[in-house]
Amino acid sequence: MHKAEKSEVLIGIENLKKDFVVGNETIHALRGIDLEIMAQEFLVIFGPSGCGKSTLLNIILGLDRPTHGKIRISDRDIFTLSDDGRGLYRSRKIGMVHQMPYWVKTLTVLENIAMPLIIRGLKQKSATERARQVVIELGIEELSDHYPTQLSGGQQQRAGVARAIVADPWIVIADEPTGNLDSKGAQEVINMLSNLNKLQKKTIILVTHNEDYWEIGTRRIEMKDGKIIRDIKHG
Amino acid sequence: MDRGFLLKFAGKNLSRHRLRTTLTVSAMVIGVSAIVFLVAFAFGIERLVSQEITGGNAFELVDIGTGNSQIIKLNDESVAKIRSLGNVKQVEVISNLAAKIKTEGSTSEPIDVSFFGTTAEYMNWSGLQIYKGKGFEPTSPNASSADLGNVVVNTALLSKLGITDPASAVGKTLSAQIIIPKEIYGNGEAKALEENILVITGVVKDEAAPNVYINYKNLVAENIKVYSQAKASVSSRTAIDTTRKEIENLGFKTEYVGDTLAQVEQIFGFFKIILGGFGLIALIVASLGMFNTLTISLLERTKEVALLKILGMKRRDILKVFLSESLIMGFLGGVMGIVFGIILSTITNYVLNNMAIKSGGDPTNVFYFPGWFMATVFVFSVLTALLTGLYPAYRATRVNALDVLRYE
Repeated sequence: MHKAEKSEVLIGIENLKKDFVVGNETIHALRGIDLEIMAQEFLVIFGPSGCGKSTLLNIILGLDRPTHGKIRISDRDIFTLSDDGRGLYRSRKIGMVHQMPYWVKTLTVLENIAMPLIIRGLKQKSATERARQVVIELGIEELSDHYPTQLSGGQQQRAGVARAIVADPWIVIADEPTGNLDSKGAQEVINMLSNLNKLQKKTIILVTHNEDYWEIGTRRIEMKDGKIIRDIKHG
Repeated sequence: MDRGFLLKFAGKNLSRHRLRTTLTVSAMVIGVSAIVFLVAFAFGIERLVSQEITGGNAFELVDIGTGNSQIIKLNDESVAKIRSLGNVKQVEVISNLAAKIKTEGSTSEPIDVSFFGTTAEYMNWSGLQIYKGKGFEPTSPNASSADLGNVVVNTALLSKLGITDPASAVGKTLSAQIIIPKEIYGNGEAKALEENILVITGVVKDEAAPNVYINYKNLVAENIKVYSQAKASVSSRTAIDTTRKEIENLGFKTEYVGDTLAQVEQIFGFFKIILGGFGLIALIVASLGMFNTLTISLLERTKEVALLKILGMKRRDILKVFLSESLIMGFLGGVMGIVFGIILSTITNYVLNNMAIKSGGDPTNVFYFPGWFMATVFVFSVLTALLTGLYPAYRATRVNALDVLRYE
């Protein structure tokens, strides 16, 4: 599999705009975002509620279509793909950690973690073997045979990280992953993401409005009213 | 997507709400078993009626007679001509005589009966199966008129003679005065034979009118020149029309039981549609229940479907997940419905037979399950389930993951 090099622009966003029409009113959620995210970056997107962070993530995920502008992932305009094509792109290139983890409640944690691989066409046995490796790497193998509803919020979020990386994606997007966790659980999840960036060279995009995480990434951008108002790179 | 996983996944989703799934499948079972029970009953009755009419392989038999013709005669010469036709395999004959019968030594008045000289094959083709005892015994070619030999009688005659147990009739002797009508007797005049003593060797079940059957070879000595009727066995069902025309060209009238059976099949076809319709109503109600179950299941799992889409599952695979669930319910409903239908039919048949035996009747199968019908019911139940699941599955593919994320 092709691994993105550190100097490579992984995500290129040009003049991205997104408007929502609510009744007679047009809401400008994104007002012209220009952004290049490099491979192996740990990008923290910070901003208050309603600043457009989630809208930007949804567009990067290919779930929402921009009103204007382009978004390229590794030089490919993802909105030239069909719905299923964008699904395939997500399953191969992106791992997602949500604020409220979604689960297939009838499947065990291990089966849930293996799901992205099964969706990609792997046999269940191979997918489960790979999922087992990941839970061992992340130190959460004791959660494997439980059902998601039997886990605490922090355990669910750690299992969510395992599911996000099981398919060995280029990018891991975490949308407020610590929003519902206590400080200990939150720290564990942040450490996991940090290790993924440092040890496995994954590109991480962390969306948060928690100022405590302001310093953990390699780069931080601050958004307000649909615009990037600050873009700071740390070493 | 891994098919094994797909089925396991669908099974787990169904087992999440066991009671709901059980009730939905139960409704399918009731619908399918109703169809099996009712239509198998129609098939069973049709088969009984057909057997009553045909008595066996009648679809390859043509009945031959002279109608009311005084010129055309069904004799050895014309039988030989029919036998020589290309598609005719075998010809068997019957002569209709009359007789006055009483049990030997009885002082009561003799009974007027139809007395048939025929062959074992003709009787078999006519559906006259030996019920008690055995069929014709070979008799001496030089049998005298006083020793006409063995006869087979029907149960109607036994009733007239006051014999209630057909088995006890075998071996009994009858005193018979046989009358050969002028149409059959070679000299053109009716002839009454001397009183004969006949031994009952077999009994056939037929309550219509008192009949006695004798091997027609025994009548040769009585100068019988003409037969009343004949049956020709034809090489195949497709050759029936041609053969009938050939026989009719010889001046004879023909009848084919297939004509009657076609009418019977038409009537029972209608009967089956009505009964199957009742079962179908139950199945439609069941599929509405399944539709409801699948729709509710989708509404409950909207977040799951959104997750699968975010993870990259194709619409086609989401469709498969939901269709697999309806497929499993249809499969279970079909198999269990068929099994339940057969069990219900067997129990009903047992009860009916018990009632029949108590009333002096004979046990029989009033249900009949042709293999093609059972296969059709199974395929139909699976297809119905698939069709029912199509719309909820399609709706699942249209779930907008983004709307779910925004709502959350």
